[in-house]
Amino acid sequence: MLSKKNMFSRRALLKTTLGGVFLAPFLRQRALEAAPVLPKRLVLVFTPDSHPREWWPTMGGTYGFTLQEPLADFVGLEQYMQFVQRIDHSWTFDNHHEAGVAQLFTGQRFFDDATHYANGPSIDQILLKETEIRGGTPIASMHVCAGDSGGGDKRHVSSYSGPGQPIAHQADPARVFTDIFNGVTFGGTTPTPTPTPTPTTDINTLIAQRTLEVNMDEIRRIQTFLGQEERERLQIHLDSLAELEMQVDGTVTQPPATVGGTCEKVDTSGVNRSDRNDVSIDKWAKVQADLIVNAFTCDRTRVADFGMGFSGSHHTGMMGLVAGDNNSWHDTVAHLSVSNTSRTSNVQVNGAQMTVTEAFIKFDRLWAGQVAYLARKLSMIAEGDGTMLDNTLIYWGVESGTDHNHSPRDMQYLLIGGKNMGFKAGQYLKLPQTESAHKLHTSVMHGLGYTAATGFGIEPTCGPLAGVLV
Amino acid sequence: MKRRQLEIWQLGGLLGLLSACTANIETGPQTQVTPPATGGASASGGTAGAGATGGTVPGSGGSVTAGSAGTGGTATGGSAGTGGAGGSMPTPDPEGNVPYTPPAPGAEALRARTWKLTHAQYAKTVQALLGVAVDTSDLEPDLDNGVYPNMSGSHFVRVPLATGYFRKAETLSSALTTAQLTALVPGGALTAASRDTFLASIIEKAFRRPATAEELTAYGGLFDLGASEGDPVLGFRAVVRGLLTSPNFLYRTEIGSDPAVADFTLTGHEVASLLSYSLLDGPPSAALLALAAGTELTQSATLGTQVAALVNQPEATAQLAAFMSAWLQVYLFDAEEVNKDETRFPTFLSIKQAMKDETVSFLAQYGGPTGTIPALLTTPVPMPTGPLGTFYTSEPSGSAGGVRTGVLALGTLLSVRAKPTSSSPTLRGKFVRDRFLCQQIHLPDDVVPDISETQMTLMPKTTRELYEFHASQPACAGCHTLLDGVGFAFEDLDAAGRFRTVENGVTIDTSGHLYETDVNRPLANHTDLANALAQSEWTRECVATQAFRFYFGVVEADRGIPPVQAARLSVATGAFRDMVVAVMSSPSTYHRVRN
Repeated sequence: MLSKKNMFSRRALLKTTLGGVFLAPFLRQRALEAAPVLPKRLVLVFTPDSHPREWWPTMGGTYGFTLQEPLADFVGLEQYMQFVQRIDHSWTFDNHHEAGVAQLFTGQRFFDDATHYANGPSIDQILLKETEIRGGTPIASMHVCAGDSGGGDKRHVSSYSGPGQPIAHQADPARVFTDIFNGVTFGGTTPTPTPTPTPTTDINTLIAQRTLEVNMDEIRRIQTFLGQEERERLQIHLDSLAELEMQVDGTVTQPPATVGGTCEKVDTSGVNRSDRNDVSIDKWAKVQADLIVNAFTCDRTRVADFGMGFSGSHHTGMMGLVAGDNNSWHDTVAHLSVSNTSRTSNVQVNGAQMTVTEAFIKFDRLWAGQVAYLARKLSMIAEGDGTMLDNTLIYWGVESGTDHNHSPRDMQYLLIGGKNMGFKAGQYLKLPQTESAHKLHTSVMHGLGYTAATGFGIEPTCGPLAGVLV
Repeated sequence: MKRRQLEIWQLGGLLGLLSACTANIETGPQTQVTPPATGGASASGGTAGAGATGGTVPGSGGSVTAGSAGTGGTATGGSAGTGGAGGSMPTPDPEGNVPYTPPAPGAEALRARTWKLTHAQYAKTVQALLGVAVDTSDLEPDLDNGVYPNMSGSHFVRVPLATGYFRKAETLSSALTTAQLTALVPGGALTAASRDTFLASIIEKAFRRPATAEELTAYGGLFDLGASEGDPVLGFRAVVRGLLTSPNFLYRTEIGSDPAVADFTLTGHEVASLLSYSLLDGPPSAALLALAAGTELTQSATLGTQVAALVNQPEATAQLAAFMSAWLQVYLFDAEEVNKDETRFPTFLSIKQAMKDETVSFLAQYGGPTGTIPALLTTPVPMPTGPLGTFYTSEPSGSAGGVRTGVLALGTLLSVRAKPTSSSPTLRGKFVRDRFLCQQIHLPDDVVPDISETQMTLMPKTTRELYEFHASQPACAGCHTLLDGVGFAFEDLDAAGRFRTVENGVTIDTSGHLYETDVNRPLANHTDLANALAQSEWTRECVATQAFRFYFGVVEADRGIPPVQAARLSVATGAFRDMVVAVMSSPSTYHRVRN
């Protein structure tokens, strides 16, 4: 594939002899890919405040495990689930909140001490650069959130395009819809491949094309005056204009992949973006999940990043929480489950008295239910000889270890789906010793097509984790 | 293929590598922080003392560092740093005193960069160029990286924003009336004969500098393409459209004129843009651009005069207000998370705007051009009339009102640093340490606090008792002592800034202690704290540092850089207006290096 770092105007490239030679095999490869194939897809999911220990299943059952209450909404989806226990993050700082969310999907340290951004790209952006996961879809990746207003603060971001380059979530479903589905005609089954474009003579299109060429040349010239970090920041702008150029040219061709489901319009109305109301959050998250599912069925993108809440988010008073003098779920429920083994302190949730543990489970289930909703929708869409979830990996992570213990140990990652990519769905992998999350990430990259990956993040040679892939 | 590669991995004799990658968790700061002033925070087992010089700081764990590292920053020894360590605070003595020590002079050159216009600046620049208003609410919001919202390193043009700019340009250029378009053309004739004079004029206005030959050619090509179907007006519109999405329009550049020269002076036009956008939040005027053609903006001897003239403009006062709001994070007050428990504070939402207005008014007077650090910190806040005054005295034990001294006692700031139901001495202490002393308190790594049943049973008692319980735990003591000792001074002002003298039947105790500064002392109340900070040289340097970050959009790599130290000296005896002039008048305004 063309490396995005070296993305030039293809019209400009074709004008040169060398460009023609260079692009010819690329176009032939495109033609070879005309044979129907099943797409690979990835959804990164973040939920706040980690999970209670009851999130782990008990042993036994058809797939070797039985789900407990936090994951009760996943019942019936066990065949798609893969638990991996004894995974640690490789470094920590402070109370691990910011360290945890920075390295969650990047495996990197902080970019600097001012922002605490991650010092490298996240797994979704690595795969977009190193593999054909995008498959010619018009949108490289989508980044949405619920129960959070989004924004660029380090505690709200889990996807990065490079060192110190966060990709913010879009909190407004209506805006997501506009960004992702602009120009889409709904109601079809499988998207109709766009015919090979013919050179346009429309003056407005020609002006748009020339404008982009001029602007891209200007950026390249400015880059020659700058050091690497500043050049890379402008490279993001340059890459964005290259994407626009493809849209203007009409050269974003839908690949003839076998895409399941129907391309349907999502109703984004009725979303109240309050982060203190579980009913609102439930609606909000489901609309965002619907947008992801339909972005897949319309083959608008194959990579998504779905954040719920943010690292350390409080959701004060949600579900009618009354807990002493501080009704923060983060402070009074999630963190209180850590060192208090008896955990019998009473709290009230929606008027019902319960233990901190019981409350934490209810809180966790609110988020888990949204992930289950997404997984179930994908599992109900036939694709190839399986389901869309067989061709999609939902990779769900949290910010600190089990019981929200401010610790980098016993991290709770869950892999859902991906059977057609070789993921051993339907197992509870209890590792004999603690392993770095980087090895798990490496296995995920192998499954999604980046088989040359030798490691991840700050452990570039750690290799994959045995037992995750078939 | 994948299976085979996995087998090769597994059979490849890589056991050594694999074992090296089993979890081996590293702790501690992951980026360079030089040098952490551990002091009392890392001392163990001490006993809090009292007295004029302060007692030994109790506790263990945690660390405090001055300043914060950042992207960009200043050059060091002729080569620009890639992220500095912020300050370099001396290690406290055994009693927790940190006398102020001026730093060694830092390098003056900053790093070559581009700095994207904020959406507000974009709108003002479009207005100045085309004479039309533009709504930017549908553009993808710029990222706030948590330092300041206008940092040059935090704004990225990803596909949604690039698309937004693209559509705006198309809409704006096609919507220009003939009269508006004519106004852009020297001579006013929308004919092909005006092509070259139009290009030179419009490019200079859009890019805030004269056009280059390459740009005249490139945009001339756009003009010709637009006019190729016989209507020259389309040529004019095509050029406008192209300029509105140009990086030379969307960014300020600080790159000089010759990429082969590593250590260089910005062009006068680049300095003009830097000064205008930083001080006035808008594009440079024709008068400033005229100055840019000379050397007044690129020499120390004359730069200060020009900066002072700009700072006298009304837009500079508005920008200073924006700095105050950003520095004190007043904008956080709007967040839903700040809202208070409706049972305990039933009228909070109804007075929220009045509370914000009170802050804006106070900052305009004491944080404005003629304001000073002592005035900002120590001027008594008058009791408001109307519903806000009623609210502040609505807690029964505080019905008689009380004393509110300076900016730290404003309802907005206190409400942000509090829980929905209770005050937070920790958050309030952290705010003072972070924003007025530039000290970052780091919790000890990988420590699981023993928050247990005991804490819950404390709930019926006072906030102070709850936080003292935290500080009684060895792992927590160091940080909580540094933070809560400051925050306790505000305990007579509750979670929403209301006066109170009693909490849960217990008389409020506002005593605290200030450690690890040059003005350590026991505190009877927040007025004591305000008076101490007003005398602190560390506070002066911190305010100067915050101003540098805001006006330059980058975190300093070194305490000793000229703009920070010039601003510190200025604000020690002068007003905030003088501080702003000082921060923008050093050689760091025009001296750059590439790396």
